[in-house]
Amino acid sequence: MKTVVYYFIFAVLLASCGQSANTAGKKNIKSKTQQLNIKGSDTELSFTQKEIEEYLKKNPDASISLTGGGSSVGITALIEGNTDIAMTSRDLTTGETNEFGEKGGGIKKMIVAYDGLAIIVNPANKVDDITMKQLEDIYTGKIDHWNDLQGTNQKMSILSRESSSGTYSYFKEHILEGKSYSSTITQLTSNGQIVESVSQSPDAIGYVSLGYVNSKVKVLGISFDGGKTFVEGKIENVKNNSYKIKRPLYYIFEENNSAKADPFVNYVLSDSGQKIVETAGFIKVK
Amino acid sequence: MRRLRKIIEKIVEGVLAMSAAITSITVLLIIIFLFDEGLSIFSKKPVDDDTVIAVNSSNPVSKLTGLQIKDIFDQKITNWKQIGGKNDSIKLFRLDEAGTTFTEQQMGSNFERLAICVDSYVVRTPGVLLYFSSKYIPKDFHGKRIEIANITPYSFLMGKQWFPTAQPVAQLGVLPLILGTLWVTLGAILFALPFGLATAIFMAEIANHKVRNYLKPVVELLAGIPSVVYGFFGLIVIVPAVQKIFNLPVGESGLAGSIVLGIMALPTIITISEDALRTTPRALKEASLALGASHWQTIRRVIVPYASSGITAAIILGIGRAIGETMAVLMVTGNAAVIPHSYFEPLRTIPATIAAELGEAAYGGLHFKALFALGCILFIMTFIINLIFEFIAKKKKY
Amino acid sequence: MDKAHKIIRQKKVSQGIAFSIFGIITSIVVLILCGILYFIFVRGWPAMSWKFLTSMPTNGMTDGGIYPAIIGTFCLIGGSMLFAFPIGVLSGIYLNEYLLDGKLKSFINMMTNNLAGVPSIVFGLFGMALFVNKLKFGDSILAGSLTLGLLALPVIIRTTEEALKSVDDAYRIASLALGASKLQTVRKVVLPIAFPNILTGLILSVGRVSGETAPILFTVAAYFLPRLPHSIYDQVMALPYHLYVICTSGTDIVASRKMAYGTALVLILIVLISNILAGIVRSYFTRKNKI
Repeated sequence: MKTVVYYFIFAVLLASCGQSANTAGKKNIKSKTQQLNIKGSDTELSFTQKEIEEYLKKNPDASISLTGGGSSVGITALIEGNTDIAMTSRDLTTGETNEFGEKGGGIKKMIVAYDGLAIIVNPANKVDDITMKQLEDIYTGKIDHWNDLQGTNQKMSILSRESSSGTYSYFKEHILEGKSYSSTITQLTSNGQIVESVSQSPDAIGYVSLGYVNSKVKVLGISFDGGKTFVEGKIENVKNNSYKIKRPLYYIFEENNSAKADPFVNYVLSDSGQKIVETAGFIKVK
Repeated sequence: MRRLRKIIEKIVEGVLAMSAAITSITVLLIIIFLFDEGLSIFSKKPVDDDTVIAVNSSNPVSKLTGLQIKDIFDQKITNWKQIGGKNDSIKLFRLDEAGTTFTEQQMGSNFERLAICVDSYVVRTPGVLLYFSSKYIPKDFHGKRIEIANITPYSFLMGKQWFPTAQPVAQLGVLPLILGTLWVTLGAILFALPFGLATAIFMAEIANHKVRNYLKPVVELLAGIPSVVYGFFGLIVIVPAVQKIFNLPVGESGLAGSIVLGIMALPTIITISEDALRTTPRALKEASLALGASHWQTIRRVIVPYASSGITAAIILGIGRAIGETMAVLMVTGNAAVIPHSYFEPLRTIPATIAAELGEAAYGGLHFKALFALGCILFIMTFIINLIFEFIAKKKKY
Repeated sequence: MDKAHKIIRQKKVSQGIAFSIFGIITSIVVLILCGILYFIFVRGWPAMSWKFLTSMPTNGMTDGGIYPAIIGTFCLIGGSMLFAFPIGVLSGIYLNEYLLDGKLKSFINMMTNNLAGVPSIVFGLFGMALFVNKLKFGDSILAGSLTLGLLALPVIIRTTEEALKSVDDAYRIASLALGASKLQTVRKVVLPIAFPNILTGLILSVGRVSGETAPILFTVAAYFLPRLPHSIYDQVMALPYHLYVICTSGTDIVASRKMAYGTALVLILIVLISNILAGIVRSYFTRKNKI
């Protein structure tokens, strides 16, 4: 009996702790610390990480943490107040915009770079070009053999990103035109893993940010006019807009938090910051 | 003085009791949190709250399943006839299309007349399927709203499609994930059991002291190695090896996952079944040997049967480890949410799904709740395994 | 007579075959297990250096060191042990010394066993829901340590209980007979005897906590954070998460492979050291007690 009483007291104590912490206000404890938290797109990790390295050389007292996971991870964390800046490689959905609207206080969306999306295959693959229509058919599951594309008679292994990825959503919206991916595609967690996997297997196809392409994979040329002309997946072609799978990369933060976020964002947008963006294989914002 | 001491004793006992209560409270809290979030999914519709899906009022279709809507948006269903309507092609109308259908003059510069435009469009287009935010739907809407069935336990557990972020209707079917988990666990146990048991018998009965003294710490050390290191090893060694040996398009597959999990389950199975084998009373062994049985016959007919409940316990604990393993599986199985048909295809497990998707799921949203429901399933699985384990372990003590 | 010989020979042959099969299988298992260790050691050793252990990651995490991840992991170990160790030991004492066998005890035991069997990702799920979101700690050392602490709790309780169980009842009876109170008996007699085993349990659970990834994924871990933490509300890098990200989502997976091997080696070394330390503690106290 005695022990039951102890249990009860303890449970009440614990519950009241939880309650008081709950009523302590919506504001997250997080925002009180000096650390600037950046979270989100896996694509943006590569250049943001280098930006932080350089930024810290100039501001040795600053403290910045960077976490990946995907664009959606960043946006979710921003809505919940778990991060200061969300990196995203896609625009906000209407639902997400509404959420920010309900929270009150505006948000700032800064485009920090542009990125081309490359379709990659193994260098041993005979196929060099692909049309948008074929690409859509591959990822919705209508084509699954390379001989449909004048390749070898092998089954394709189709690689995609995880649903948390902004690249995944962008690809779905713009290449699949809103249709769902086929459920048999292999989902890998990052750009790097797709590059790695494609470089190892001769029958794989995947999509990654141009900034992650290396010499171990072959970038396919893409036809945006149904097979008449093919555009090579190269930075120059993205710059002159002939390669159309191009998307902006954003930093998003709350307006009333801009005092904390501005110094770093301004650095990224400065000349030296944009130089880092370019060397990382992305396209600078004019 | 004596009184003070008594009071102190009481206080200490109280503190001790509270500490002992923490594990129970934690388990209860975990159950409450998981099930509170997880079960609330069943009263929900698989669409965002402010989403409106509607058709022309003359359309005989009034109910659609989530799967049908997905097929319509994927353009696999293009005619109303396919889903019990009139012979008319389905015309999708989304927010994106508003900009191309109406002029800015019609909509108004701040979209203040968009609702009226939408309403009239629905009225004059018999084959329309409208997917819009409720913000732009007028109060006196002339279309017919489509009822979407709530998520039921049946549709959740038996659904074959896992597209938690699909628009407009999320597809929350966890069957592929459950089967993927069980499939990869089965493979792991099939691999680990013969190896683990043989090693345990060798260590308990055949090897001499010296060899055993070397083996034991190695096995213990391997039990302590973090799963992410096993995953790393799997990613670098096992995945490419599986791909080469079986000539697969990609090495990330159920087989690679099973091998990695099997290796991880080995130390658990070896340690526990070796302990069980060792508990065989000396008298039993010696009686068997005295009757003229060889050492091997004694092992086969006396020791293993005597230790069978302990060995079963080891297997069950091994299964428990394998089911809940997250990082290694996430790294090597390829994560395709399909019902597995062979070990050579990528598959996706419940823990890997939670680890990969929890970060993006908005707190309290549908996807978030679905992941908690997955956590519930996982919790129930391991809970049952634990109960069986305890039952067997208890039975052993007589 | 001939038949008897035959049977004996058959027995010998079948035993020989069976034993050699077991021997072969065991060698395969040992080969696999040692192969993993050997692989990580050989590949990881070249990466090891003082600089690797004590400098910040640079150049897109393909160069430099893993200092912040090591510090972060130690912060998490410290934080989780600060929480789990006292509670675990106290509840172990309560369960073994105070609580009599009965329904309540078997209930608590069942709960403890169940907590031990809960998959680590479920701890992550729970930690995120309770500490990060409900209590608004955010992604922080605090949230991560508490989550890891809960994970380590059942292990510590179990080892404490085992350690106390191994203390002979004669000591307790003798102490009580001399007029000592229960508390005095526990404090002055039982605990000192059980202390080495409790300590080994603690050391081993440190090894386990240091390598857990799933619970910290959503509660504390950062991808890149080249600063040491200032407060318990900061995020930190941690070794297991660091290994996970640089072998799956680094900026250049192949170039950072060397770092990955090094990190894996450090993780294994932490486990190895904690195992060896536990062994030393155990043998030191056995020797001391004999004298």
